[in-house]
Amino acid sequence: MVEIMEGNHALGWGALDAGCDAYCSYPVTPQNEVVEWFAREFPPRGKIFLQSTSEIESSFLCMGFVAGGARTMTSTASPGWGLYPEGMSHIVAAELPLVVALLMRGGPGQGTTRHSQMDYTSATSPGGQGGYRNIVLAPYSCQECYDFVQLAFYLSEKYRNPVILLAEPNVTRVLEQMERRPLTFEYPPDKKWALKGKARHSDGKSRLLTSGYGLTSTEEHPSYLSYLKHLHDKFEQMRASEVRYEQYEIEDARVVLVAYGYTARVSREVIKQARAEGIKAGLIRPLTLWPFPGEPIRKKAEEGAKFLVVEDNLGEIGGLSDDVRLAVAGRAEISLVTALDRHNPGEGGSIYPGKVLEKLKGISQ
Amino acid sequence: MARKGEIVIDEGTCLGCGYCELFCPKECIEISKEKFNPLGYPLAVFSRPEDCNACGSCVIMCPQFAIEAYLLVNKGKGKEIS
Amino acid sequence: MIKEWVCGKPRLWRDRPTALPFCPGCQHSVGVRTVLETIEELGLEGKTIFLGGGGCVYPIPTMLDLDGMQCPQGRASSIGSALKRIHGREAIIIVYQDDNDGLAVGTEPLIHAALRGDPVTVIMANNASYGSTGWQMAPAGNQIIPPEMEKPNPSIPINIIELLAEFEGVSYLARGTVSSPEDFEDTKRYVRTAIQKQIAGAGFNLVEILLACPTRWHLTPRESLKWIREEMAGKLPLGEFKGGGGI
Repeated sequence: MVEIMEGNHALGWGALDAGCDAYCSYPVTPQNEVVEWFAREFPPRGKIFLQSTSEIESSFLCMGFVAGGARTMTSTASPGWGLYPEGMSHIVAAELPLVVALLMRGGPGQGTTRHSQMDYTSATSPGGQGGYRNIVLAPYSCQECYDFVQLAFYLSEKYRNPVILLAEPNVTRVLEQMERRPLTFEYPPDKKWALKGKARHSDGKSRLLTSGYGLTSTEEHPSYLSYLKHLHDKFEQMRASEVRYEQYEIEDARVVLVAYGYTARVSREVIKQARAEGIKAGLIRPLTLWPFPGEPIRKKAEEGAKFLVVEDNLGEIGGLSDDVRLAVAGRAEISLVTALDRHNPGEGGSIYPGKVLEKLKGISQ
Repeated sequence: MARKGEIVIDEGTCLGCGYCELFCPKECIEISKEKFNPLGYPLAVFSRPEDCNACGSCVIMCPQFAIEAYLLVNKGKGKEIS
Repeated sequence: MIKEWVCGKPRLWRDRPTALPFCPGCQHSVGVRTVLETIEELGLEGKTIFLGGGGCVYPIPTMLDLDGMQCPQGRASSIGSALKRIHGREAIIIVYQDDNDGLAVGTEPLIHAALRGDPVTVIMANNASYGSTGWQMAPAGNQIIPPEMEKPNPSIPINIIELLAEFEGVSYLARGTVSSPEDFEDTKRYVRTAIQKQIAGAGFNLVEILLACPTRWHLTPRESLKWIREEMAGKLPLGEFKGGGGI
């Protein structure tokens, strides 16, 4: 059955259909609609909804929920995301799963209450202590919000590592069609590592969870080096197996647009218009921002294509353009459409097809 | 009939803090001036076993859990001996 | 004549081939003993989840035969609240944190667990110092004492019990010491009452235990116990402050 709803709510329905047991977060614009959805829909279904007292608390309350074996989700927006890194680092270190939805608003600091794509780097190259990786999924529609949140739960339990859903409120607040058809995944069996009280484990042995494997030796990780090797292998496997991307009109494209989220939708529109004028343009849209789909980009670079990165971010502070540069490795010309190309100077300024088409024409000569 | 007790102090873990000496109600324990544990701490010794009644004060005050206390009873009868 | 074992190392503390990682005269292990003996006596070891804080108490969960977690500094009360919501009456949650963990960086988790009335048991092991980072003062007045002072006077941390006493969701607050076998038994009684409140689902409960830290106080173990009795207990009075005298 197809319904009309906003992406914020689709995140909730997706979480419910994925078997989420607990949700905890702190309100911050523009994700309050997510909090409200869970506050309304979870308690009557016997599931846990908890409003925390800060985003720092969100991360650690979630650490407690997942430590107890509950399938858990949290959500936040840019200013709140600034408080998550400590918790994220500990959750990664303790090898616990978690789904984090991150809605981007203009930054830095208090920023705006409207959209941006400025948290790309802090999501894909996380700022928590010690360094680590999280798979980052980038939905660009209401349907994808619903689908990707279910995928996120599966990937986070497969790897025992948090997965981030990165989106913009101009995607998640828009009402769109959504078909609620739950996806099935083969989740790993029993969470043997969860804390319940030793009598409730099938082998009757006590369990220890820690985020301090450098200070604590366990049977599973007898030394710090063995633990580092384990993490290294895990991230390597994610990189090898979990890349996802979509290509549009790419076969004969001489200019490749690279974009995700709302700017990817803008880019599709631009490509239609450009093609009508005879410009061979195509789109590579990463669905996973990490691990990044460097392979298809490298391939087009080797074919001699030019690139146009369309990102509502500042080119100077990194982001998607940095990852494209890395993938291209100097073999091709890269041009940027950035936040400085927004259609108006206020907080609601956006990247519109007109400006992108203009730049596209400029580099297609 | 008095309880007859005995303690065993683990010399590998005793760090000579002196709580056992301080709290033994019968003054059965002394921090030695001659015996040291392999880490270099002066050891607690069970210097006057004759008055020990296994009250357990030294056991619970020891921060290293270095002391085990036993009751000496008549074999088979389970009765306390004097 | 046979030897009958009377008492010794707590059964729930695993065997260790070497000395415990505590200074001579440190009383953290004695504080934990009040909890372990109570858990054993109440038959709760199969249901207990022991959450340890940071600093000097960090190694403790690894040494216990209980489900447990080494929690990031200050956060054990949040993790405990969440675990209690998952498991409810099926698990007994014990948080063991010291003053620099619970009364500094951990005030938000602690105060809000108490405000929500989450029925977890927090043992606040107060030894007025940041031991493992080289002895900074506990969160109170002076934060650092210059190393050249011979007999520095450690400052007393905030009175958390006074702070939490007014919260409706708090069912039991008590403070004790382990400065003598009698004090140990009193404190153990407080711990038992606190855990029984948790079993009854009666709300947040906390037992503060004033413990010696001879190394960082620059006092001998005996002088430390004296300092607890005369200075600390003067400003942080002992006894039951809420919900005392049974459930």
